[in-house]
Amino acid sequence: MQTLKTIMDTFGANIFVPIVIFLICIFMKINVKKAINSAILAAVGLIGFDMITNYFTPVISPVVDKMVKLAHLNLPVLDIGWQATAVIAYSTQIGMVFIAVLLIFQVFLFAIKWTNVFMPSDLWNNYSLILWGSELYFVTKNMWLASFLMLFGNMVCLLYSEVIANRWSTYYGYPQCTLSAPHQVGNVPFALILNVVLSKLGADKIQLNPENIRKKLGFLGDPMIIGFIVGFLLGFIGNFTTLTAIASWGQILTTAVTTSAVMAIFPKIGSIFAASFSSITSASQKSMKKGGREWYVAVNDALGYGESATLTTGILMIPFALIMAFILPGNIIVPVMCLTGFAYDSEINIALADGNIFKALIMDICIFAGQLYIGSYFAPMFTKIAKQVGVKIPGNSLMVIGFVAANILLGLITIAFMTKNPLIIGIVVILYIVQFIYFKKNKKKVIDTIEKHSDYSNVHVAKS
Amino acid sequence: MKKTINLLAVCGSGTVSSTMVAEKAQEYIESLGFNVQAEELNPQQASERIPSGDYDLVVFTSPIPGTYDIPIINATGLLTGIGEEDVFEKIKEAITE
Repeated sequence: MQTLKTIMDTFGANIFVPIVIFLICIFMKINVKKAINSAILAAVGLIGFDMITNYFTPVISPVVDKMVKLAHLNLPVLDIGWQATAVIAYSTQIGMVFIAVLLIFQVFLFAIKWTNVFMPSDLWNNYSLILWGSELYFVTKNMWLASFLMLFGNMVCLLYSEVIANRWSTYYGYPQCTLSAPHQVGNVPFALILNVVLSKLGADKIQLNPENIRKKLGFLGDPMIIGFIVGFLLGFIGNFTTLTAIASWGQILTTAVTTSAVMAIFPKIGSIFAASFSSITSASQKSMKKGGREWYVAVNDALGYGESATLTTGILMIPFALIMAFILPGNIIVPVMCLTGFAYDSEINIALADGNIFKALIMDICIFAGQLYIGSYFAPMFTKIAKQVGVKIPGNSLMVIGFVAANILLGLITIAFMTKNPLIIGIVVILYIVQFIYFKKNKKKVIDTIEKHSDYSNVHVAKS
Repeated sequence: MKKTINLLAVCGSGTVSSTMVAEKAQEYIESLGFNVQAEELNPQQASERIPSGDYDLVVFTSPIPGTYDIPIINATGLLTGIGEEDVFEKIKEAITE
């Protein structure tokens, strides 16, 4: 590990990450030309990310500062979005090593039939496990504990992935596909409870029609427009007392167009970085043995994003998220980049609510509230990790976080591991084992119960 | 001179899965003897850009609102590896027409 650290410190993430990607490609018997291509794509993506954040933070941070002072709002944490979170996680000292470890671990768990979900086909989303390991490593400096957290977190995710598989696959109409992304399936236990509780409270009686809402609010599906609106709002609140000064309008509009530019350009860079994973993903798919048992392929959450009820819930969530961030006591995050991504986070809720936007929206709101607190707790740690991998954050006051790094379940598990108390960690592990054994023994019963709670008389069929 | 196919790949954010799908589709179309110019967008952006006539073929993993004159193919199979051949077949049909 020490040698690894020296190599890491000498070359930095922009060199190290591509080399590891190259090595994994060679290991997976991908041809050299493709391997080199993948490696350089990763470098280009990482450098593009540096360029964007280093341009964006100096523009946005004075505005957030002003807003904090003026409105007496304590929201010094900037939400930098999932693409940036992924890049940070993969750039950490243990990030790239772990993508190889997790890949092998997931193939192994599938092969020994521990799980029916083939997770390597959504390799990209492993960053969502790695970032927790990185945070734990940062706090405890204990590589073994951090490694154990990532492997354990992976097993927890696989369990919930299997629990939700039938429902997700049925609702979205993708046979044998499920989600395994830790920041999505980590919400499964909460979503299951909320779904039942809300039904008891009568939430099923209200049904919203997605088409009308979508027609009216469809323009909010474009990150560029959202970026402009949010940038404008932040600038406006920050300059609220000096609205007659021309300089204020300069800052308001600069913030608006800059945020808009970041929102529009970032996915392109994310896309370049993600492309470096595609050869490995397809190679791992080819190696999947399709035995004579029930199995699910983990897919990217993008597959459910565009479904009417899902996208509409995601759009409706935007104003609620902003309001909650401003009024919830104790929250210190200002949501920016997450605003266009709520449709992803709505998928499990929508599938459980069987397309009922009203119910799914309430579930979204409850889960997001929890995420604000988890995110507020982890922001200082996440910021230090971001700084370590080279993100320039001006001043001492401003912090960053992505909502992937604010998952409630994985956040709580990480907090338990941070105590380094064997008893507490033991209890968490036993909780998992109990659920695992119960699910394996009563699988049909569990799946049937979920279906029963998600089946309404006015069945809404997803058109995907 | 090879003919160039302007390919658009669409997914939720125009980031991860559209890129993966675009790569596979591009490789396949090139193997049929075409040049490929590929681009990735999200569904909302796609619904605004497709009518401009910039693209010959669209592959998607998230449905695009609206109806269009150019071939639009569900390419989920390229992402999951299940039914990959069917998707390739549809792409072939669309571009050799």
